[in-house]
Amino acid sequence: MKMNRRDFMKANAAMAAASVAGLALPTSATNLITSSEQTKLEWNKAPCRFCGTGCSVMVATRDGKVVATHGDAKSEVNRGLNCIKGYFLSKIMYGRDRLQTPMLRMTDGKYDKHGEFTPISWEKAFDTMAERWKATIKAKGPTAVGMFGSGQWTVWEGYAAVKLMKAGFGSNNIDPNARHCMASAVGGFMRTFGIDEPMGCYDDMEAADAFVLWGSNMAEMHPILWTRVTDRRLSAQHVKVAVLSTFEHRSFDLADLPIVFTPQTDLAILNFIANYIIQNGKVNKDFISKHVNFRKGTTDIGYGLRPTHPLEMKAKNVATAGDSTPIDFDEFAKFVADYDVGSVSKLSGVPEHKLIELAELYADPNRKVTSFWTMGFNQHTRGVWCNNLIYNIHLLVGKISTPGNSPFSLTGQPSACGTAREVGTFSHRLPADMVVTDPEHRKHAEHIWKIPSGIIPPKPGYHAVEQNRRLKDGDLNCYWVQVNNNMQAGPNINEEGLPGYRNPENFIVVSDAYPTVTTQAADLILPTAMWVEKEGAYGNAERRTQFWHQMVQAPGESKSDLWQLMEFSKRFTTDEVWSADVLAANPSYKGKTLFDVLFKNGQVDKFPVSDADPKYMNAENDAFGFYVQKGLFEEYATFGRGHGHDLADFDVYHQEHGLRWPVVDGKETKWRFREGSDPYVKAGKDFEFYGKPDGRAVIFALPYEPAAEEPDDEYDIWLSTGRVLEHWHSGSMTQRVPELYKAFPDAVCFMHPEDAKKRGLRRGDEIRVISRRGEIKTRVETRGRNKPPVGLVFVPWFDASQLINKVTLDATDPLSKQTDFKKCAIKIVKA
Amino acid sequence: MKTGKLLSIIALLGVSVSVMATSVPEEKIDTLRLAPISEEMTPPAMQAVINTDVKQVRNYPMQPPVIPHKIDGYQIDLKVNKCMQCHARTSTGHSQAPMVSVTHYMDRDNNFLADLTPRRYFCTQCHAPQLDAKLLVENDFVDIDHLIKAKAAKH
Amino acid sequence: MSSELHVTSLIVQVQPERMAEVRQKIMAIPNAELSANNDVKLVVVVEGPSQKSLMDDISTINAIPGVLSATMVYHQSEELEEGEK
Repeated sequence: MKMNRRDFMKANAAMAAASVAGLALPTSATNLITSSEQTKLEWNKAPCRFCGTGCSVMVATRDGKVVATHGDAKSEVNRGLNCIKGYFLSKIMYGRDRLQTPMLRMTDGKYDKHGEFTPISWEKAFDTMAERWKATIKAKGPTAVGMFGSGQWTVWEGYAAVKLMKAGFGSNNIDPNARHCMASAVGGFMRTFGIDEPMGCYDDMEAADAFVLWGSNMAEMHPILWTRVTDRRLSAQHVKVAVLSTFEHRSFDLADLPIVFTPQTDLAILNFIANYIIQNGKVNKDFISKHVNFRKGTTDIGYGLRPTHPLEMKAKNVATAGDSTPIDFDEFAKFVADYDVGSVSKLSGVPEHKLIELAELYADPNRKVTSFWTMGFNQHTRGVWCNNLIYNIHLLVGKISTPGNSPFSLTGQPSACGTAREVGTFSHRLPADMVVTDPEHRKHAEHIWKIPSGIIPPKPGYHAVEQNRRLKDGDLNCYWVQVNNNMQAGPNINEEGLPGYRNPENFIVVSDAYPTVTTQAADLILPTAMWVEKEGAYGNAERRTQFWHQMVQAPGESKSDLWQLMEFSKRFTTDEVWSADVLAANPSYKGKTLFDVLFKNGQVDKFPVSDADPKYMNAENDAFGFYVQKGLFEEYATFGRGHGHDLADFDVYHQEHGLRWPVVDGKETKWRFREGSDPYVKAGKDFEFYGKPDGRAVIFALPYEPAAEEPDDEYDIWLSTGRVLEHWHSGSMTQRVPELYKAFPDAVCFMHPEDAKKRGLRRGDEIRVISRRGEIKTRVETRGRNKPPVGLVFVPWFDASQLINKVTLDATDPLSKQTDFKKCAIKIVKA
Repeated sequence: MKTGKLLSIIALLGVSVSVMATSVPEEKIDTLRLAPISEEMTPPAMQAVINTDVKQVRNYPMQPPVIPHKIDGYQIDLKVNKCMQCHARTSTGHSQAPMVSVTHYMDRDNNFLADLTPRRYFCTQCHAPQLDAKLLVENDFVDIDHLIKAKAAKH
Repeated sequence: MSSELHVTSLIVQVQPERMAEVRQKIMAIPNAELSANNDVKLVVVVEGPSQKSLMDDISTINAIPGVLSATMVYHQSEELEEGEK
């Protein structure tokens, strides 16, 4: 085919318009292109944008566009594999409705809470924000400003946000959406081991003889880890897989021991296993005598609802929920003795023989067992207890910290560990497991941050659910949401979330790449760069830190969260946000901007732009004139080095396909707390749980207590919410990928056929799902991947047009403050 | 000869700014909802699975193909893998279905196995049928082929 | 003698019920060529010796009844050598 220049120009023109319009051009006759120069792609590594597994992917770019992705063959995590979402990463940035410019609600050219979203400049956006922030801080103090972030922030974005809030504004009101996801796991780790995050790693999967899934549908939510479990199970016939859940799902396809139990009775099953181990003489006495203490926890601790809720008024020990007293082994044995197989079988609805078979997986000294759990345990009003109780079992038999013996908490977000937990973006935390309530920790942080003492407040700020309540009550008035969609993800939208955002006293700012229901409820929307449109770092569930370079430019005027945070800090001087006393005692800080104090502090701005690899673009370096990411990372890393959280040098991570901390003398750590594999364990100790002062982990006596809300005559069925394989969280990325959208376009209500029949319903019927708090309309699904038992339904929450969190209850674990999205009482009627 | 000047980027920006200059009411901002948060819409009727057996072109060679037929009731568990009854190497003669890619015969260390690798046993982790649903928002991903041809055309 | 060649492409938004007649009208414009379309959108390529000539044609298209908007997406100009067409 021969074309002259005129034809080429016209073909180009048509193609450009057609691609913008989303129209397909009739294809002309094509030949294979054999010139390697023309077909060459630029490939770079990046961690996947979705879950906490932390798969590495190779990303191909060409002419400023991501054109392909595939699993990174060199990555230990996924060895070339991706799940269906991962394979479509190439398309997540190209939804046509990417936000391109800041938009403020305005009427007649002025900000108006009820106005329409009107494009404005960044200048005007920050001016408007700063004005509100300053006025609020002046009138009500720093507790009236807050921020809601995410386990999807890159490490340095989370770090910059914590600094801006805690060291800049002097407010602890910063919390991540990881609160909905991992807070109970964190609580469990801190309570049992005194240090956060799993002792084991993914290598456990090739070593274990048994896997037990506790409230985790890995087949859909952690597909690549599931491929490793499947590989192990199908490659070695002696390996057993037990799957526990309140409904049957895809992970049951691999189960040797499938167990569906009544919601909340996992607490009793866990105690039964401990009891079984003791009764049958399978306790590893040597291990517990050397490495374990026993304690009894406070009970009747309430359900983390508003203090005026009848359940809170009734609970006796809300104020002392986290307390515990020392006991000995015999007292513990006596405590769990009540949980015999007969009564637990009756309570849980699980046949006795299945309970015994399950307990035997843990009790058998010749079987290496790995337990996995995610939201079934963590989104639980006794989530910390669940975590404590599973550690009890592993500690009783000494099956921990050795290959294949692993109580393993999986994570839902790409950097729930790396950012939310390790950086400490929670309302009570500081980097490297430190907390704001400890004066020594505050002092240490203020020293590293080179800020005057007394800036970080000692009182924890508002956690995620509390933030929505305080917005509604008018105590929190300036609120900035980054990288998450909490109007869709948070519980009880009707009674708490929406009234909070729309409270006329409040000014809500939402940074996102796409319009979401959270942006819909906002007053100011900031267009945001995502994933490989910026240089980033994530930390996955096995303590692996992974970096990536910026590969393409963000569309329109979109900017990274990091740029937004740092640029906003320029709008404030210390005089406007710090107390006069602090400034009088530290006059050298007077008149400086927060940007000067937090980012131009001689540490963060230490590395010149020339340190960055010139092969890659870096929008933040261009904007600020120093290697921003490196400076932030290296300052942050000083918190953990020498304290069990050692990170390698910045530049190393751009070369490696991730390293698991602590990285000491250039070597990563696979199993913590065991001599020989963890450099922090002292010689001769064998095992050492060094997060606790005496090196001993804690076994907790904790009982079964009922759920906050159970079905009754009117609201007669349990509701569990969750995810589906093809969509990640609220679907704001995956719903914009046509192949993923068409795989699962709308949420449905998975229901047992008998429950449908009882209500006169058939598959596909429109129904109303109603709780005491709100309702949605959806359709009945009696087939497909989830098969709930009679008495329970499952509705996924990815669908922006079916906001199931209008229905859920904002009951939380009183210890972790994490919401129980898995249990509330509803009724279902035909629409 | 003067080289051609592409003004497409500038033109595009000009367009987007002028389009964006109009304001958007609250209920029109979220493309995936297009309704007030407080309102409940009637959900779309359940769509049928596209069951044409016509292959859909992949976006790039490494993309797992979508499934162009129904898989309702397919058993894939410890006992049976229904998909492999047609897509296994040895079955494709009678089924005339495409054979699973060679990568599906490689283990974690890239060694070839005699049969399907256990790590790729559950087909639906990467492959999904498509429902006949109307897209809520278009995707502007550009096929590399278009980019290459556009470039070739310039020279 | 060299001359200039200008090419532009437009996305034309059309009232769906008037798509057929709009297409007819555009085909009648000497410098305009139809490309892909769906129910509501139409891609049109316009060429001409100057920017002015393009703008005139775009105005003509904009004025066709049933056209909601005509948006320029791409513009390229080249100097043509003698003998090149």
